[in-house]
Amino acid sequence: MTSPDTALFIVALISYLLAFTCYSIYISFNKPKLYGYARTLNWTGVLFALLALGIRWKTSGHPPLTNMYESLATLSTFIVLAGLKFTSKEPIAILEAAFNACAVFMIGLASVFPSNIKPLIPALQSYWLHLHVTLAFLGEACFAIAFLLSYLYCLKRLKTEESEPLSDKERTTCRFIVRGGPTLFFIGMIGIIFYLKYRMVGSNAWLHLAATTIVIGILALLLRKSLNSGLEKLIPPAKRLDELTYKVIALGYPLFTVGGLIFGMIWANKAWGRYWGWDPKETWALITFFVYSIYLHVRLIRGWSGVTTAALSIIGFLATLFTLFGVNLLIAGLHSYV
Amino acid sequence: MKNLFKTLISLKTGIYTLTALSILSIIGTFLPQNREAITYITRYPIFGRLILLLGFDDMYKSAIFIGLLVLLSISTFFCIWVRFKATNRRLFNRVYKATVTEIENLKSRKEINQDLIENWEENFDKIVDKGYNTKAALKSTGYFSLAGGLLLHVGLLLIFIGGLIGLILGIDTMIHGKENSITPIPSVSALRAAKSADKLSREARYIRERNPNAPILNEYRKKVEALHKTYDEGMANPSFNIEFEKLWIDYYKSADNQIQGIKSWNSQISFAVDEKIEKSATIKVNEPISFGEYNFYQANWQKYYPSVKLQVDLINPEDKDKYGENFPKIIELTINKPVKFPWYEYNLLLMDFLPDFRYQNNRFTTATNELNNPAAYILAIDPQKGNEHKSQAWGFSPDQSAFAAHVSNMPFSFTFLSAETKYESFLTVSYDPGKPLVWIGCLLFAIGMLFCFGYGYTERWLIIKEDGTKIIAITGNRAESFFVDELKKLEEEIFLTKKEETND
Repeated sequence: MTSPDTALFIVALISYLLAFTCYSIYISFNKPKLYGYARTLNWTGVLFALLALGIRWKTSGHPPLTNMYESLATLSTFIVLAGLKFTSKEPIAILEAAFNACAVFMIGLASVFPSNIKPLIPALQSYWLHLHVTLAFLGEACFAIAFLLSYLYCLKRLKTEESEPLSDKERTTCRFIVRGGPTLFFIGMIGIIFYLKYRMVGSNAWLHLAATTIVIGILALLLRKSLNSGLEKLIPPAKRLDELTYKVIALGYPLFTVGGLIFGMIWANKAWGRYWGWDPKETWALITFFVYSIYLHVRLIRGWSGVTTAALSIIGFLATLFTLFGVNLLIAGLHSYV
Repeated sequence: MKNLFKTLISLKTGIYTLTALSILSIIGTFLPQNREAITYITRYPIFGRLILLLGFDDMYKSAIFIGLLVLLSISTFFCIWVRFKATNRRLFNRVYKATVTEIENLKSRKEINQDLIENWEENFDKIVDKGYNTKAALKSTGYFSLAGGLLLHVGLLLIFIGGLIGLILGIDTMIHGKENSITPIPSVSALRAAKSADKLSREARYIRERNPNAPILNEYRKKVEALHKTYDEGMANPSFNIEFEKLWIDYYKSADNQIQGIKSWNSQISFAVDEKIEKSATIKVNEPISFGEYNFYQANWQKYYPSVKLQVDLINPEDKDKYGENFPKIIELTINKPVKFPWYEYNLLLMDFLPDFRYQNNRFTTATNELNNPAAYILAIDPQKGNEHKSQAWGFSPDQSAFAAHVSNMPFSFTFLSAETKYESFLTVSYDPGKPLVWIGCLLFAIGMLFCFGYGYTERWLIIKEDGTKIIAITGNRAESFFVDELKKLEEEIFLTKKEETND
């Protein structure tokens, strides 16, 4: 029997899917009315997801942050919530569709992992769980939005090359990002499919994911032209995308640093007797911190902007992804909670 | 010297250092750390020796990594120095120190031809004469933001310094104890000696791998012996003792009282100095305790089974004449404690107990500490002949008892009934004199970020030149688009519109 929180997540997922459909039609075929419906459906999805998280919290007695299923579900909710707040005064349909698609993907991926509620192990029984993981996730949600903005920035720069010429280096970087992004996504999906097939024996999850990947690929190919023409009209100016990226990183960086690193250090000291042990999770969180520190330094001190900072934002998010998932799945350590 | 200074405060240095640290950190997460030297040489035949030479087997304590951290610290220190001077200039007497040329060259500036409103001075904090009948007016907001950048970097530096102090002077080790056992805790210097001895022994093992007759090994042996002596003296005269008074586990239980998981490991311990108890407390995970120079943390837990209850049966019922009628019998055996029963000529000794019996790689072993497949290994020994081993038997649970017949040559069969569960607690013992600095650094870093990202520093300038030219300019530490809007706002606030000018 499906638990109440799972049922609510399914409703949220359906909302997100409908929202994504509305965004896609709006972008591809210029139907302005659908934009309003898309946002409403997105907000509906978020509210249902928050309700689901609340119910799960009440049922389990601890915040839903302790395993891969809960992490993916919570993070997807934070991404959509942060994205909707961020675009409340300045609607950017393409960005909204993108983080909406992220949420759909993450909820789908969450369903692959065991969702049964287990009591908290002794190491996780602390109020620091609430603070450390929640703030870190909020920071990472901001980084996810910055990543999408940077991707759109590179796409826009390639499209407006006639009016704003790119240097050879910038053009190569933009092309690598714009084409490499979807390629990396599909390679990542194939990696996850193989992981599910060979590590989670007996589960058919890999089949569902493989089918989803094929469907996404076919849709992307079929809608390529109409999406392209929609994108040209609806992507904001590159300079504005660049500024928005900085804004969202300026919000995410303190959240991630304080929540992920500093609160993590305090908690590690309480639980394990040392504030820093070069655990793979800690090390990758530090690498993420370094990348975004470089971004902020070159931006604020040198005044750099454009393709270089967009690339840094993307590298930072890739480091974030590895911190969140790569470490848990590929490298064992004290921090591995699957 | 000047060039060195310039290099150290250069942003390039910072970026290259951070990039190098990131790359080395990535390598450290994928390369197994702190293994024996031979492991790297056999596992990585091409790069093994290079890994050891560069110290990448202990990446985060390698000379290269520490060197980069030290470089980053020095660079941060000099950046703080430069930033302090710049912040000082901005915070105090900015309007006096800024030049008209500097203001005129700001990116967000505009030359206005309209007249100023009557009380335009009220929009500025300070108005000064810059000479040649030129006035400069300034309003600054968001001073916290300037302080934020400085605090942030000071915090970072303190974290680095605290971390380095911890690395050099800090100690962490693990102690373990069973209920009612006493563990001595030596002084910090004795523990440090043990840590140094371990490090030297590891280095010596690596040297021995390459050249077993290397003369330097004698020096290593002497150093290690001296360090062990210091440690042994420390253990003989400990700073205090810890008694593990009581150990227990709290479980999560379902509505029908089924155990669902471990809720907490609890170690009730007391600290005794010269046999006088100074402090008693219960340690749990996330609830550490401090005593003396040390902090104690509940790190791990282990179950063990010192005693086992077994049912003894005669394999051959006809042996009743020899061993008596009253079978089956229930006996209790404790590990390594032989027991003489009246119905058997030899002593029975519980040699080993495997709670989760497995036969792997031609060995009997246990998979876990849980009573999933209990197996007791019993010997019959003759005390008259120096405990000579006479026969052996295995005692399994009733559903596995058929297996016992294959591995037993006693006249009895043993069936496992129950085992007394006892616990062993593992505590991390930590001494880190750098921690207070790290915490202060974290606090300053967090406050610095709050100021930096929560507030924006803005300077609103008005320059009135001798010939009546008016220039407004905005600068600060925010995005350019913010200054464009601010410039417009300033223009609207202090200048008459063309319509107002006409009406006048």
